[in-house]
Amino acid sequence: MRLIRDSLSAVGRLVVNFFEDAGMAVTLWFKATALVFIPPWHFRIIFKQCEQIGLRSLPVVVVSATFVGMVFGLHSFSGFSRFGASGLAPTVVALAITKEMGPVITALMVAGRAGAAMTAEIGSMKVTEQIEALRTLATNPIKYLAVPRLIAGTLMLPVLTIFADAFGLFGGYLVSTSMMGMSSQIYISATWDALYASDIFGGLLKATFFGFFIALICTHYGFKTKGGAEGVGLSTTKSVVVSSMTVLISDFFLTRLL
Amino acid sequence: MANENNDGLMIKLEGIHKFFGGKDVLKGLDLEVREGESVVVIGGSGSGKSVMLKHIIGLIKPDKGRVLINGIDITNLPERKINEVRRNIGMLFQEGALFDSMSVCENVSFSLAEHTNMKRKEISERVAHWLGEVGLAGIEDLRPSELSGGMRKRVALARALAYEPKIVLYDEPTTGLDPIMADVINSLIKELNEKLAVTSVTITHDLTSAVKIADRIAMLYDGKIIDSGTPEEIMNSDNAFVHQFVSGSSEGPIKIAD
Repeated sequence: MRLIRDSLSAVGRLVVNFFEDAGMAVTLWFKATALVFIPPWHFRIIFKQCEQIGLRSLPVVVVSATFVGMVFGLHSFSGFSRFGASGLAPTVVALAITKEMGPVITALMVAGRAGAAMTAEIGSMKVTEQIEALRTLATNPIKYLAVPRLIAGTLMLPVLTIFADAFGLFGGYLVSTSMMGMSSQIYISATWDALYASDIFGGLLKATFFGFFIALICTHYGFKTKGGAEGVGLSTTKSVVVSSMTVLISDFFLTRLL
Repeated sequence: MANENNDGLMIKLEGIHKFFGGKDVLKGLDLEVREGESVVVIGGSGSGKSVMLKHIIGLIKPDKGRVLINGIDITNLPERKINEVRRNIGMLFQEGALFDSMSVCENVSFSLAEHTNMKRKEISERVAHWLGEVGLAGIEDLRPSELSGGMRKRVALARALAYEPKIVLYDEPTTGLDPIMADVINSLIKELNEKLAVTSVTITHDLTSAVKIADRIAMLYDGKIIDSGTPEEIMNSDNAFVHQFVSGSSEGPIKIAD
């Protein structure tokens, strides 16, 4: 009896927390949107965040996308050759990378790298009164901290995804031609035929949404941080888990809608 | 700042009530600070001194009561309007709250860079001037993490003063410093208060500091100001609560909060 009650109340707490966080994140989004149009515009900080989220995440994104492409090449080649259709492997790799793996791998990597850094930075500013200090210096913390990150996240994710797509395709190519003995010409022309601009742009559009979600969730958890160093750790973990899950879950709905 | 109708009062807190987590922190607090006056509010840990101070700069809104800054009622002003008032107020935080992603120079020049169109050269002259005033000339390029506690406080003081505020708020300026550095800070505060003719409110439980800085000392207990007077009057007060506090005794009417 007690077990049932406890587990029910735990579930209840989870649901309440979820809606509380979602509500706060949406409020943050509205406030940030309203502030985007009011000067001063912090171009320097936006630029710095683009560097932080974009340029600095590039190596991780490129390496992961290449290896995902390679694994995909292995699987599709060996799978399709079972019924003599190994010629389809390039097509499957191209579709999977551009429509799905490119945007999702990029988003997960950025969530783990740049997203965690966002929460940790804003969170430690919160617990050391730096956010309050910003306010006493007549500066809106949402405008100063959240808006640049939201803009940079939304802009940089599709850019990173272009790289992920390119290196993912290259990974598939590498494995198929060097290890599976497929002709380089055939692979390239099959890939070329399989690529449609609409698929690629669909993937980039999804990436744009992912970038926005990650930046929103990670700044939200940053601002919500309390309780010293321990609190910073907790909210960083939370922001990575929630933003990664949001990427995967929203991926399904975005794919269905777009 | 509008100066009419302020009755010579720079700061007026009127019947401030504040509830936090089901606890009455402030219970109808009244405080008036005349233009150019230095008021020190003393009180035990957890007595709500910080909460009171944050009301003056609009970081916290009262549940009941009014906050008037130089005749302007900021109680229900939107954040943008409060920011205009805040440009005339500087605040020194207990731990300094320096922005640790920025250099000392960027910290001190923060409000000048954000809110004025000053040229870079002019800004660096002003930064050099204020760092000189707090006795730390030439440390512009250091990072806050490279500074000692006393230096951090002095840089934070330079940051609070750089915009030439009319009101300065000091949150426990000597806490965590050795007695000599505490005296350096006290002398600095006293000297700058007089030189710049600012109105200031300091909260502290350090009586040496209070006596040195104050024109008037007020004691906060149980959510209200229970006594106020010149340093001599307070040190010799017949009020049993004040007497117990200034004599530093654990015996007396003040209940120790748990």
